[in-house]
Amino acid sequence: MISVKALYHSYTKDESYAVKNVSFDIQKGEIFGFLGPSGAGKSTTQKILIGLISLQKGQVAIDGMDIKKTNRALFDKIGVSFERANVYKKLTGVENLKFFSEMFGVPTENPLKLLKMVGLEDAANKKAGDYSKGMLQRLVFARSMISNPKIWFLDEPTSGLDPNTTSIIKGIIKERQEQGTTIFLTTHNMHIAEVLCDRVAFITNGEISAIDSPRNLKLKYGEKLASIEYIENAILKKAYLSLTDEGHKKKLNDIISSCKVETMHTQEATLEEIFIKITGKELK
Amino acid sequence: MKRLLAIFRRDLKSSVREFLLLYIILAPIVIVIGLRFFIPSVNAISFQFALDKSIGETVIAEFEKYGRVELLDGRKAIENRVVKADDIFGVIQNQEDDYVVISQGNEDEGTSTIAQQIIGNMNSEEEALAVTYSDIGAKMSSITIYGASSVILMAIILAGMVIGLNIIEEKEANTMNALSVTPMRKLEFIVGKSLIGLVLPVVEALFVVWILNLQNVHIGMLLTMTLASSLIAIIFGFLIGVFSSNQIAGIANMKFLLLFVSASFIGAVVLPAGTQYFLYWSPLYWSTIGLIKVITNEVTWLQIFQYTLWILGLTILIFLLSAGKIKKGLT
Ligand SMILES: Nc1ncnc2c1ncn2[C@@H]1O[C@H](COP(=O)(O)OP(=O)(O)OP(=O)(O)O)[C@@H](O)[C@H]1O
Ligand SMILES: [Mg+2]
Repeated sequence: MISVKALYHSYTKDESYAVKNVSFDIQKGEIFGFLGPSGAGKSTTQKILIGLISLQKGQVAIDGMDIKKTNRALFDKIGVSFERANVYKKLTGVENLKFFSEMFGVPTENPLKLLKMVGLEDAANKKAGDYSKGMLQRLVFARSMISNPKIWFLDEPTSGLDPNTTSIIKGIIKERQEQGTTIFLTTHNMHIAEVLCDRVAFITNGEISAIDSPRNLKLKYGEKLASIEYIENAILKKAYLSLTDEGHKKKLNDIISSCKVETMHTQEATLEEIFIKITGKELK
Repeated sequence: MKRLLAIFRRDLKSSVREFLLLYIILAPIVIVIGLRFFIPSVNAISFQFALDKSIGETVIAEFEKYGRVELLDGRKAIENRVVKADDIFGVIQNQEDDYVVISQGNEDEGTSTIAQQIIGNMNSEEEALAVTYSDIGAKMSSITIYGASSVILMAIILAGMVIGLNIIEEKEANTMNALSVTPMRKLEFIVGKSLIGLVLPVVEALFVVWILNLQNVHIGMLLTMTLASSLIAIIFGFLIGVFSSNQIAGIANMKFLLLFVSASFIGAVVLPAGTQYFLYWSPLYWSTIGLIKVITNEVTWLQIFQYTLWILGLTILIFLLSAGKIKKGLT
């Protein structure tokens, strides 16, 4: 459904790339997670895919069509939820959705129904300018479904939402997938990625370092870890150490013999820990 | 077409919900209503007469019974006074009993014969009294002419400003990104955004003509001039929208535009005929000339055609110079 080959992008049009040699393929009906810390190049990649930034170098095909040669009708199949809520502040929630529904050449969803799905039915007739940040986020999310897209781009759809709303949004995404929608999901929330995505790509500094299903990543990298809190030179420290890696095992021995151990337990690696292990970077 | 109308409706809805934009839309209407009340109030003060100094004490005293009298020197001075905006009648004496009443021709019907009647009363005991009536040509008060044309021009320019502010809104909220991932084409966006710049001036120009009761104005000619002039305002609106990062900057940029507009209008009105070619480069100069002549109903279709050609030619030139910047600014 989406195929990206050797994608590069430089905002400064020089050798400093925000996206560097990125390649991946997304199958029909798949939820593909794009995971990385802030500034990794997630939004940049999404913007290139949906044509908001022009393609500098590399190949991108969506629904079998080279995006350099697409016509506007392609956008009848695409829905985009933006990272930053971009809505008309002087229009109400319903008016915002109605206006956008007029832009499409295909049958569109009922605005009120969409607003109800994301819990905005009470605010439907309030001006978007009076919405809270989380409400705006949900409005943009609802708007991205207006044309019943076959391909759905979601940039941080749950950032800044409370856990309850987050799980509603998760439910909607899962449901759409079951109806056959292909989903490109950008996030730095590992939990979301773990429960939703069929496959994830780890991206840092514009480069992808791993692409696989969360399960495979765990099997591959998720050896048992020891999580240990200890005091060294009067400072409380924390470490995650592999129980199979020789270097880590030695370090664990050293800590136990020379420092005061506060807590220690072994655990299955989370996706977050695997991310740190592979990329050497925190997700925040 | 569906998209164009949706964009137009959205702009209108959004504009009337913000005080500043609503004010910009309503300003020409408010001003022309004000003008409407001002024009009759000038006439309603009382009767006014401009008399020749040499006309004699008794005649002056007689006219003073009916209204305010101004004494002027000679026929020329009186004629100049009469053509001014308010309703005033001039009276001069040619010979003993031969009085000439000078009027502008647009005075209220009831008052136009008042001067003759006064003279008639004054001389009722004598027989041979000849009063001739002289119309010096101007058919309309200058308040009406310049008021109507400047308000229509203002409606045109302010509609461009509405476009500019609506584009600034899209830029600030980043909604343009959301639109560019729909099947909407950029040309549809531009044309849709332009519609308000055509509709508002047309509606407001018709309102001006209606409220000032300008029955002799040829509506087809009026709309031709209005629509042609709107094109230039639309381009300015887009330029303001593209170059201003927020509303404040937009209003600051509007000041330059207003300077250009007022220079064109005032120049067209006050510059002597021989020096008007200094203004030929300004499409709004041609708009001013055209609108004034349409309102005074002293224009042929051929002239309208010529003015429109000038406006369109200059507008296309400005468009070619700025199209690249507009296109770039909208991405
Ligand atoms: N318009 C721009 N002009 C110049 N540089 C930009 C622009 N947008 C992003 N960048 C840079 O490109 C890099 C990648 O940014 P991007 O927005 O793609 O990150 P991200 O992964 O989406 O981060 P976040 O999680 O914060 O949304 C960053 O270094 C950022 O500073
Ligand atoms: Mg981002």
